Amino acid sequence: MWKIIWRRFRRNKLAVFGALIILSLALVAIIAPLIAPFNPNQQDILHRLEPPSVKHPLGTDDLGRDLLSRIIYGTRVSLLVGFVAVGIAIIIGSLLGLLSGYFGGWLDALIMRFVDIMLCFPTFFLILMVIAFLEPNIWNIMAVIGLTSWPGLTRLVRGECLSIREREFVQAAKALGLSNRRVMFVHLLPNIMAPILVTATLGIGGAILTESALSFLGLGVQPPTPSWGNILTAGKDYITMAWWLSLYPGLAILITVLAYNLLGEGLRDVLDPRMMLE
Amino acid sequence: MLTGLSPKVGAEAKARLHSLYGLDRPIHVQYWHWLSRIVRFDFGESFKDGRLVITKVLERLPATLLLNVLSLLLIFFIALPIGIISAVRQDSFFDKGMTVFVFLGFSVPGFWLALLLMLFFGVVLGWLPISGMHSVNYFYFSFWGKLWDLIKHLILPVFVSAFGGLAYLSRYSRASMLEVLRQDYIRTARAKGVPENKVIYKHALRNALIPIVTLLGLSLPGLIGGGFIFETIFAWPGMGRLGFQAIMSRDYPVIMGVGVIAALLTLLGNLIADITYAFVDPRIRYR
Amino acid sequence: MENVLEVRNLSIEFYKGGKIIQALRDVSLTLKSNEVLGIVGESGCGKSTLALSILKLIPEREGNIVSGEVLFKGEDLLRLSDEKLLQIRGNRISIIFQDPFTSLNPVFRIGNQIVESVTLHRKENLSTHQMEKEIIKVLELVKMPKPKDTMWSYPHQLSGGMQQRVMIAIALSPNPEILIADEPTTALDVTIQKEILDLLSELQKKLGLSVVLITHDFGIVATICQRVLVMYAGSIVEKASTSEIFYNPLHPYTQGLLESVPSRKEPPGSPQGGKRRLKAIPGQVPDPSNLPSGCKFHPRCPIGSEDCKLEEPSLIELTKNHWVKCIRAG
Repeated sequence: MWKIIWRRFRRNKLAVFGALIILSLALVAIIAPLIAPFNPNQQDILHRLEPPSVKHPLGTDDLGRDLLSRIIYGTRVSLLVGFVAVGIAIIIGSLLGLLSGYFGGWLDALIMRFVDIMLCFPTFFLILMVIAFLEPNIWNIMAVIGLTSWPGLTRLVRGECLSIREREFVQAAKALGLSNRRVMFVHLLPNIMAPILVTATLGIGGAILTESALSFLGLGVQPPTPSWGNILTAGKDYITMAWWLSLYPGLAILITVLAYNLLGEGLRDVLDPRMMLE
Repeated sequence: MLTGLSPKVGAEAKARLHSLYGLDRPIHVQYWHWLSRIVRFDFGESFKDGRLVITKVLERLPATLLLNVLSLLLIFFIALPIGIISAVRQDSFFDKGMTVFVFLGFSVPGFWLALLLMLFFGVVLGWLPISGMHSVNYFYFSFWGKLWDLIKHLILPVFVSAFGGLAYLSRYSRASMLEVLRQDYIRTARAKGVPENKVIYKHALRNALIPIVTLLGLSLPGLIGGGFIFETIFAWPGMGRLGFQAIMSRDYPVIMGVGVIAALLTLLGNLIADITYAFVDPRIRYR
Repeated sequence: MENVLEVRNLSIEFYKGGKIIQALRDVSLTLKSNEVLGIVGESGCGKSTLALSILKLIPEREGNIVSGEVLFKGEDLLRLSDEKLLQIRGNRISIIFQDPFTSLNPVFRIGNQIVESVTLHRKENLSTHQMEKEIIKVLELVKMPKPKDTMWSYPHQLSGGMQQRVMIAIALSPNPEILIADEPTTALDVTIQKEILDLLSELQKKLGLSVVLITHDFGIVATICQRVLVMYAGSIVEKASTSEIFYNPLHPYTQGLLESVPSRKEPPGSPQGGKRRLKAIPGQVPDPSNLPSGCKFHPRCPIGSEDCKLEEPSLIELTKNHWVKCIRAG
């Protein structure tokens, strides 16, 4: 079965394109110290706000730091936040969704009420409020983004559970006397992996956007640690003088999120529901 | 936390504050008091300037509503045709082009787009203002002058605010329309001899609109959330900007106030969505 | 009796997942005036495709007319201009489908959907009052209980049988010459099936309709069809009058089909039926993108020979007006 998926995946050009970009970015993040021409935190006030040149291909920021290096290091932040935040959301969301969808009854009602309440608030505002009470740093951001994204996933997983729960193989497993836990994790979960995976991939893109927005507002990753979002803060302040500070970090975000979206949509086509047919 | 004020505040002042805010009462009593006040929209006074929170919020609400409603309208009137035409001309050049646009729309960080547009239209071209709702000499304008000034200030924020929603709704419209076009009753319409454009714009569209229209109501929370960033970037005097400033200055009563109002608006959006759905789908309206 | 409709050498291809599917292969038929022609076959044999193709209802994205003609009053429907085709569809030739619930538009009231047929094809403008009268008239024609209430209802408020009556009403309101009925009763409850069939039969006689009735149920064929076509894998394998088909089926496939129908008079296990087991045709319907060579039925045929694999037989008139596509028949 995996071979079929792989073959179909290869045929989907967009998904492959997205995957390649993501892999390149991951590579950049890992070997950042090797490829960055400058130390990203190295200040050089004499050469602040210099436009792109041979020495500084993307220019320098307001403290004379090389923009290219900062953007390269910024990759680390984005990827890390993306994965961790979405990881948290998936674990909580899938678990609650499985419990809700499988057991039904009062547990389902309780969890769903909670989900409904959380969905009442505009997500971003919720994040802002929570960050306001906490100290802005990368770990809190990851936690907060993760903890505010799980409701959507719970609904999705629950829905999938409900539709699969009544199918024969689940009934068969229960009839065989398998424990609930086993039925849920061994039988139900693999079948709902597909939409979870798709949502997760798209979610990483979303998490990166959220993190950069927060950093932009000063509530995310704090300088001097470079995050594409907080570089853009300087971009805003010096908008009339240094267009490169506004352009390049945003471009980095765009390309990264685009890659995740392409991959996610591609996965959506490749997995589910044709997989069911085969 | 609250008493993280100036250390010069003496113990006596602290005690007075304590009793003023009822912090010396048991926690459940405090909660009850808070809840009963919230329900009456009494959020207390702002820490910053002592004015009533509710007043401050209501002052800013119209500006936010103006921005969001216009965004919604923009989204609806542009995304819907794009989606429908993409579906009708599936796989055409238009469809593929729009798909590219949509993907970009999903991936662009809104605030970055705002910056770029501000840079381009505001600084480089100088056509549009980049902050605030009115120009400095607003009050000297005639009625038409005022209107034009308002419009100029609205263009960038509304566009940027609507951008993400545009992408989403056009994708959704396309999907909805495609789904409808596959249905048997479309085949029946053709079999009856209905001309193709009527098949699409009478038979199909009416059905495709049902989920789309409800989605609009559900888009409101997204717009409000985005409002926090965009209002701040464009210095738009709305609720979002108020909320953001409150967060930065730890003005908790205001944060609470804005939060509750935002939640209410979200609920309102959901309610509108549900009502619209019941109204528009006869299968729900008539049991 | 002249021919009201003639299909000549029609071949249709579909594209699905990169493969080419030959849905119809060189199909020809004639429909005589005032007759009920049955088309029988299992799922996937191409009978619905045939029905849709007559009115060119297969979207270009999905399927392609490779060759053939559909002649109605001397004109080839497949090559008509769009404008002229619209005048034929739902007007001179109507079609009703299998599932009436999904075939009706859920957001428009019944009256609205019926009157659309009327206003589309008549030149005069009718007043609201006249339109209402027309709707009621046509609902009474299909024996709808409480036509006035039905007129204002939405499709989901009606039962399956009533929905199908509405479909028939829509189809017949412009007074067409030909009605194509694609499995009109398959989706309905058994008791309702008979009602609808009786209705169709009655209307056919009353209005002098020529009907093409598509079904997989031989019982229905026996009840109202005068002539029968049996289809398999996209082509017609036997063509004869109803009585001929039943008493003297010549093609092994037809014989197999008839034997696999449980008989009410000879239930297995009863004294008359004895130990008669339900006979099924062995094997499966072939994959339409990968048809066997020669005669498409030969892999499952009880009397197949080596010659059957070589070349696909043509339809030959073995006895008077009884055509078979089999080299070993008779």
